[in-house]
Amino acid sequence: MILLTAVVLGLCAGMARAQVLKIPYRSLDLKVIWLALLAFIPQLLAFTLPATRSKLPDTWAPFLLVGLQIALLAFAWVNRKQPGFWLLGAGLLLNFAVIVLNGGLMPISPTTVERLIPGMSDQWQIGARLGTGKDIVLLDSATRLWFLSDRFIFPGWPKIRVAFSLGDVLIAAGAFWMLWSLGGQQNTEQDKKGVQ
Amino acid sequence: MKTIARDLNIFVANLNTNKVRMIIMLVTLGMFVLGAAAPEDAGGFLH
Repeated sequence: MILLTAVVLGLCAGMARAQVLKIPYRSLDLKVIWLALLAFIPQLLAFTLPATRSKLPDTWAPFLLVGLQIALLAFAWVNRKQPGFWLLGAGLLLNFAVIVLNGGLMPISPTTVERLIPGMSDQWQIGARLGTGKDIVLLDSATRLWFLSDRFIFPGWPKIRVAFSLGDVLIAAGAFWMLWSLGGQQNTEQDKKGVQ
Repeated sequence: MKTIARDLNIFVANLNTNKVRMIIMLVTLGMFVLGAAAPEDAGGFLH
């Protein structure tokens, strides 16, 4: 929801910008789109959809998550010269680093979990995967690069119960930047090559 | 069959190429963003 909000806001801002500048809103011809699809669908099935996420064994989750993140890194690298992709790639890299260094799942602290789902401490335990998601509950002291973990929530917004990381913030910013920039002038020959 | 194929060709030819490109770009970006980030929704306990 939060990330798609960044996409929608970026699109609206970019289109408004194009309107003000009286130029057409451009699009990008992204390369190796199939890689993004290849990485997205298994993640959707394994970690998001309620009907399928519970079927993934806990032992498979780290391998799947790391493998799919590698596919997305490859996608980001191939498209690195497109506007905003340096931010998108940086965010993905931060997430990838903390995931790999902590056993293949995104760490989340017990404190954050308690804030996220108060009163459900019998449903999770430290050192184990959090439910059927992509997180593992770890103490900050036991987390490598703890500052990159899923540690941010929206306090006071009870309907938006998600925890996100610094990498997620960069990814949202990158998506916004990319869509915003498509409403501006093409500056370089490089831009012209990948942008319609 | 020939009529269907011809109609399909006419439909594809009339598609606004820029709009199609835009949709493909947005869908791809959406997939990347959701795959790369996908903030934790409390392990599914809230569903």
